[in-house]
Order: sequence, then structure tokens, then C-alpha cells
Amino acid sequence: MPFMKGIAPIRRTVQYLQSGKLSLKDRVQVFSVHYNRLGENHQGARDFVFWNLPKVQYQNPQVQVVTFKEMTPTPFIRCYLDSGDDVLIDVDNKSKEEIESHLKLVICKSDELLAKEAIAQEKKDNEANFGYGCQRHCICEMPGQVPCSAVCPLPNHMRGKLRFSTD
Amino acid sequence: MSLMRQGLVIEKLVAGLHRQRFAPAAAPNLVVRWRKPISLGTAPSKLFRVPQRPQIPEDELKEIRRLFKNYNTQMKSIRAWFAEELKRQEAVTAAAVAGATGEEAEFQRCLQINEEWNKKVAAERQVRLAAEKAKLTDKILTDLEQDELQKSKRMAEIQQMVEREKDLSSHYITEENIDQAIEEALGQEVNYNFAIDREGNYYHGFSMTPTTSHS
Repeated sequence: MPFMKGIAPIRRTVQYLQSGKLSLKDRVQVFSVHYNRLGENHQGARDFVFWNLPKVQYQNPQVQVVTFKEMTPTPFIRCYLDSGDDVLIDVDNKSKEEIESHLKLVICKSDELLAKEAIAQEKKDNEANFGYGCQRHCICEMPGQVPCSAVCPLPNHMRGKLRFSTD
Repeated sequence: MSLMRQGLVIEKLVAGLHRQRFAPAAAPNLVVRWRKPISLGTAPSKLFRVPQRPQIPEDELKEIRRLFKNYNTQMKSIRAWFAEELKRQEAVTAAAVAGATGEEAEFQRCLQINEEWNKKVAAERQVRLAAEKAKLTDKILTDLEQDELQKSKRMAEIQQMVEREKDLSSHYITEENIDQAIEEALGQEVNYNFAIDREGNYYHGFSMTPTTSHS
């Protein structure tokens, strides 16, 4: 789809998608929204689907996000967990913002946990690291660093066994 | 003593000390040197190195295989025993572990909040539906009243129409007075062949004398 075509194309921008706050708990496997196209009490659910569902899917790529339309008298959100249980959230006559804040409280990771995960991720992804699982196998790959002694032996004045030898 | 030889001696000394300190009989918690996991694959620096195949005598190979099979069998039985033991323990402690972890407790708290939210929403919905129902009932009643009014109005109009027609029915042509009506019609000749001038005078037939009516 062309970038600036369709209704509210801002929904497809990376900045918009990254601004989502709903990072679901690890145990949530399926996130389903049931709502209708008509009805005042479905307006919040409709808005949520229109504005926030792309963010939810972007933030949780491992979760299946589905919508069911015209199959319910009142709108609700159902989350299926990995244990086989499900969490039912009634969103009848609630606004998009109310739904979002409640989901954040109930089914999403807390801010502290997210901060911890971010720190762990940051540590893993630090570009200055080298070795296995990193971008660089060895620090000698960086220009200006001392080359690997296996490839290019150090000059004698920098080698301890020669510097400190008695004979 | 050359430098190289000196280095080798020191290395051997250190290795001996290490063995002594961490002898298996002396220390059950043996310190094992960290090794690269095999899953990492070949290091980029050793990528094109071809290792020599080990040359093992046939009888020694046989012995190694025998020992290896024995070892495997023993390890398999120990592993199976541990698995059974673990299963038994897990069955006992699963519930306790689940309750003890903070995450589960946190999730239960979230579910509690959700339960309250659902109850609140359900109560609000009940109120809303009751109000909507009352509104709908009012509308239906008003519509019924309106319909009734319209109907009575229409009935009055029809009544009026019937009365008028009843009055007019005295002039109707029926089977009884049809002959008389025919007679009258034949007696009253009407000629529509006339002309009209600017003043509204009629001229019948070929007559040039104006009259004021068309009959």
C-alpha cells in the first residue's frame, strides 16, 4: 500500500507504531477484540481497533491479534494465555483511552519490568561489545586497536616475556 | 636456559599446582575451566585450519568403545532415575512454587482488578440498558398515540366524505329513475359546437347572435 494513501496513514509510520505502550505479558498468546460496526457502546472498541491495534501488533509480534466483527451484542476483549485460560475484558461503552489504560494495568508488562528488559536488551546490543554473539569477533577488527598476536606478533618492547626477561 | 624453555617450565609448574589444588578426590565442587560451547562453531580465525585425524590402534579403539558403551549405559540409567525423582518432586512442589513466585501473585492481582472492572462495566450497562428500554417504551407509546390520533382524524374525514355522498345520493341515477334521466337527457340538447369572442360571448352553430351561456 502506498505510504500516504488510505484513512489515517499516520498509523503506518514507525514513529507512531513505536509509541505504543501496550507490551503484553509473555503468557498472552492471542489477543482478540469483539465489536460491531454500529452502536454507540461499540465506539470505544472501534476507535481502539482503528488507532491502537496496529501498535499492539507492532509491540507484540509474537502474539496473534484478531478481531471479530458483528458477532456480539456488547464489545469485549479476550486474551488467551499459554496455560489455556483466557482473560475476558468487558469494554462496553468505554472510550479508547479508558480501554488502553485498563489493558496497560491488567494484561501488560509493568513499567519496571519493561525498564529491566530494556536494560538487559541494551547490554546485549551494546555495539562496543566484541566476541561471540556480537557484531565483532575480536577487538582487533576496530581500526586503531592492537592487532591479534596470532596474526601479527606484538613488537618485542611490548611483550612481557621479553621486557622482563633477566637474560 | 632459553626464554622459551623457561616459559614451558613455568607453565608445567602452574598446571601441576592447579591439579593438586583441584584434585577430584579432595574437592567435590571441582572448578572446570570455561570452554566455548560447540554451538558457536569454528572461530573465524581457525576457519581454514584442518585438524589431523587421530591415529588410534585397533585394540585400543575396541577398549575405548567398550568403556564408552558402559559409560553411556550407566549414565542413561542415572539420568532416568533423576528424571523420575524430579517428576516426583515436581508433583509435590508445583503448587507451592506457583504460589511463591511474585509474577503469579502479580498476575492474580491484575485478574482481580479486571474482575472488579468487569463488574463495574456490567452494572453501568444494566443502568444504560434500563434507560434505553424506558426511552424505547416511551417512544413506542408516543408513536401509538400518534397513530391513534391519525387514525381517528382519518376516520372523521371518511365520515364527512360519506355524509356528503349520502346527501348527493338523492341525485344519483338508479334503475328506478334511469328512464326519466334518459328522457331528460334527450330533452336537453347540448351543443358544444360554439365559438367565443374576447368578451366571453358564445356563438352557437351558424348563428351570429351572441349568447351569454354555452348551452
